[in-house]
Amino acid sequence: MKFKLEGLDVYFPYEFIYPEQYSYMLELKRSLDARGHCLLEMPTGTGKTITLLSLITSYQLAHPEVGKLVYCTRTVPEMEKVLAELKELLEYRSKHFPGGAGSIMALGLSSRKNLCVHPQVADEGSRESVDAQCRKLTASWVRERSVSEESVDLCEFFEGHERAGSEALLPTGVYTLADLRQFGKERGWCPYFLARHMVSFANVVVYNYQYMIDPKVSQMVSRELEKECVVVFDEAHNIDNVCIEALSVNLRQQTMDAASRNLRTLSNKITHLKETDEKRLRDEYSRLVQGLVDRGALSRERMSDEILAHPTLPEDVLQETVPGNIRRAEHYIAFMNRFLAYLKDRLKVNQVVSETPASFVNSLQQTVQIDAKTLRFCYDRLSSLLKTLQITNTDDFTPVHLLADFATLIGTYAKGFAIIIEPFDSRLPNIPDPVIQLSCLDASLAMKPIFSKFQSVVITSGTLSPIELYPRILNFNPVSIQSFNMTLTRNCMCPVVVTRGADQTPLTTAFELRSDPAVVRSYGRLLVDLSTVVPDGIVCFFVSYLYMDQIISKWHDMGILQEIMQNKLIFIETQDVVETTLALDNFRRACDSGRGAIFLSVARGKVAEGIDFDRHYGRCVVMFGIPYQYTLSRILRARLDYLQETFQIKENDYLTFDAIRQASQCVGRVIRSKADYGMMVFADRRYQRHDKRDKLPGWITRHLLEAHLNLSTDMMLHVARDFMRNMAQPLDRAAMGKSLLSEQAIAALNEAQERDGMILG
Amino acid sequence: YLILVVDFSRASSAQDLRPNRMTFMIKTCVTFIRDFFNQNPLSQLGILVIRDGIAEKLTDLSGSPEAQIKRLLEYKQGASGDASLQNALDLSLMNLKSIPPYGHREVLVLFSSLTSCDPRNILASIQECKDERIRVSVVGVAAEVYVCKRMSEETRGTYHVGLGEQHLEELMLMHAPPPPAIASNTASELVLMGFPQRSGEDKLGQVHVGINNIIAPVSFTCPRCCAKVGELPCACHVCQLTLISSPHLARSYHHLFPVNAFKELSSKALAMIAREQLEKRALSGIQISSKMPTSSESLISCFGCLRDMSVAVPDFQQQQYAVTRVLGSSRVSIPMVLRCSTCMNVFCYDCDVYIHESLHNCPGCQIKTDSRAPHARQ
Repeated sequence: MKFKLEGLDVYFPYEFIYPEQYSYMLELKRSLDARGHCLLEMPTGTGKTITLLSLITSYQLAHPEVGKLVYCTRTVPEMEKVLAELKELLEYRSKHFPGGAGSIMALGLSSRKNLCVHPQVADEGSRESVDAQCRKLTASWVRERSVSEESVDLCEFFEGHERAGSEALLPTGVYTLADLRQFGKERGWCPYFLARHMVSFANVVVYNYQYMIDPKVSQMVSRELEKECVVVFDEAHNIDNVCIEALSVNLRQQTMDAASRNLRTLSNKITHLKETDEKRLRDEYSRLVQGLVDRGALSRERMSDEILAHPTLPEDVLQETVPGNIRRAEHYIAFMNRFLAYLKDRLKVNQVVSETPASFVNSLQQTVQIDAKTLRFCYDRLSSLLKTLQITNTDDFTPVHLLADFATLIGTYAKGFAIIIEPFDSRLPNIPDPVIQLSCLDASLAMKPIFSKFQSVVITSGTLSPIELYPRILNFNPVSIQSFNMTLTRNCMCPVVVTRGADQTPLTTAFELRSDPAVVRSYGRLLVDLSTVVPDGIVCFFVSYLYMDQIISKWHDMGILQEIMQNKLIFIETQDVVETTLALDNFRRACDSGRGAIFLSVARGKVAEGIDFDRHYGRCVVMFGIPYQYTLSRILRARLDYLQETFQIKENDYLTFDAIRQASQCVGRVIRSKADYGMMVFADRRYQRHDKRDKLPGWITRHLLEAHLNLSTDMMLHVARDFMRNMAQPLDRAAMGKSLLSEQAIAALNEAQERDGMILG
Repeated sequence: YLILVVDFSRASSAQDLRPNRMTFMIKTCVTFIRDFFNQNPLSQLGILVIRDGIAEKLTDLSGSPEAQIKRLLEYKQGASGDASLQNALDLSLMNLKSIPPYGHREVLVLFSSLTSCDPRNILASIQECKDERIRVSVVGVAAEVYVCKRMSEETRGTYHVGLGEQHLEELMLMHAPPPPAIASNTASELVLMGFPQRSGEDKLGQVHVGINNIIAPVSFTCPRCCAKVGELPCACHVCQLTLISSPHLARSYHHLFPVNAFKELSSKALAMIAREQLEKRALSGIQISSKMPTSSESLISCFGCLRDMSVAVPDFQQQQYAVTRVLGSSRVSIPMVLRCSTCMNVFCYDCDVYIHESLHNCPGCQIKTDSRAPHARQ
């Protein structure tokens, strides 16, 4: 349908639109008009993606001065989903513009691993090795050499793309990753470089968060995006954590050992090169002296030569020449060795040490005479060196990269970071596992350049509650903050808060009570009872792997597992990805074949974040306890202190916010569309408290009836039984129509608004 | 031909239906069986029970309700173990495979469990049922189970879940009237049937009757082998001839060829009919008294009961309304007017209900065929 939204023609590919989608569009349009950032929450299953896409592309059409739509997703499958929806939209739009005037150029951008079509390279296992293999075939010096030598292998696809040069263009349309690969194969062009090349022509670019947030990657990819772009972060409830991860470095004993091996290899290469081709080293030296190390001069030569860009943010990089003491290759190696030795020395501590970067650098200066300024250039110097040495297998050099990362970050930022040295993992105090963590405490650091560079940034997700906290954590001023509700034809959600077992023992995972056998047994009974009334799939979330292991072994001893097994099969998430995938697969099969199954997993785990349990795969989700972060972790403590100091966010507020957001993320896994239904069981007495409940997103609290609070297990059972029966009644399609708006309805709505405006005016 | 599968697995011992699920399920099944044979006396029904992970045959496919009900009521083993839908399907499949092609093959599952614990992949069994054109319907006692939904969807059956005792019973009885025949794909075939004679009205005529040799006052004699059976319809226990009485035959016949649903006429169409009638009458020279149309003169009347329905015609409404006001009655109900799409006769709502639910014949169509018959003979 096509309708007017405050004077803007919106092309929406479906016959009907949900009221909440309409208001979402309205809010989005207003903030685009205001050229500001916005923060929008709308429950999952209401078609957020298509709403966003349809409005923004329509907006682009009406206002050509608006730049690209940059759509950031968390995972590759999400990216594919977005592109598929975009395809549908385009198909619809082409009906309105038979001449092709309204067509869009859209593509997904991903790593080489996902895009490579080279027969051998694409078979490589990890992302790093694909990158390295690709570089081996495409680096500029390799290609130069191949001109003289016959035996050097080259990638035919890359060559094809190079030959076509800037002529290599995609016809307009929507390209998923598979489409790109297909196209590349047909033309003999490398899809990866083609996509990179096409980014500057596209109207819509879909890629991963990292490409935008992580300064290392965004330097390469997102640098050329113009200011007028609209940047969308979908599923952005964890955006602060992504930001922090992008700027944090962990160094372990093994990493350091590997790094020192790397350095040894490098120095060997340097001596070797000195004997054979000293000129090249001299060239590099003179270039550094002239101050040409400014990234551009080196990395702009060839896209394929890029290894990794600078880990810090653009404006924080000094536009200076590399200091004299590390200009010579051998000096640099010596310098790095010294730095590494110091770090290794620090790692030998017996208790946990927590420091600010400033004091760390200070002690560094005193012991090994390394100053902050030199540290800052570590990274640039390393990439320059790698290039000079013509090293292509970069995946082997990851440790030394990490080291240089660490050095540069520490040299650049004095605030917002913490260095924590732990001799062992505090959960397993007997196993020595020393680690130096440089952790970023301030999520706004990584977001700042994005907010300042782009005109509109849209942050959206199904769960952003409490929504006021996000602008504070990310330190920006949105023009609109809005949380939308879902209009439903029936109450397809049934959240309940269970606080006690049938024998009135309180249910809680509070630390002092969680290992109490009575509590464990009550939790077990809860699950057994649920398994008798809920059909097909049940998903359970525990607060941590450790707790899950404990409770499962206790349930086993109590015979609770056996009882559950009579009703449903049990699958468990483990930290191993392959095992978990297998378990999930079998879980689905068990649900399909009617055996029914329970999936036990962990909040904050892979399953809680990315896997949907829609339809019969998740008829019920149980949240055992409140998934607080591990509060004794040093990093978290440091971050909490920092938040308190800088943003005046109370420690407890943040912790609860974080826990509840995880919980609602977990329970949100079961409702993926309006026709779906599912029960949500919050099994902890602490959910009863107002400060917890208020932080749940509006679309959950709205369904949380007063009668469903503070239940005991047997009461919950009744609720569940009735709910399941009611939901099993055939869905009335006609009633479904009530929550839909047709073209006419929207026209009427517009008129009404205008009238209101006139009256007000 | 219908196989009734009753789930007596562990879940059936739950107490949420009064007095408990199992007792209630048996009760419902008994009602259902009675109703089923009442509606389709020609059909046969067999009962399977699933419990302890296996499916066992309680009764063979047969036409006598009382024997089945008795077996069901005698079932005393209690509910235990897992339910296995697949075993039930396989067993039903075995039973239904041999029946003649003109019969409907149906399985009705009364499912109280939420899981199905199967030896192999159940989807294969579902596919097999689909290939054999067996229609599987499920009535759930507890909640919607995906595999049941899928099974009934694939085999073109239905799936419902009961809300409570009342609702469950309604859902079960919904399955009693058979689905309309799929005329095209069933090859017609002659079936041998016997119409036995009722004998022994007085007490003196008591004889040993039936397979169990019960002494009973009333019996039916098989026309082929002269064996005596106790009730109709059934298969003769000696010569296996299907024994049936003619009202049974008539009753089950109409289910195969149901009367088409009548269409409700819009006011516009009514006005048109009224005008046609007017013209016709004008031609035949009948005077229309414009003041007060009596029922005999009314333009539109029900073909069944001759009720006057011109009130529904918009042109006449006002006029009529004026009349009724004069008469002092303030009630003006506009009757629903329906028309049979085959014979184009008009019926009122009450007649429509009567025709579809009890009579199973459209009188208009009947008259037409009757009047056409002599012509055909000539």
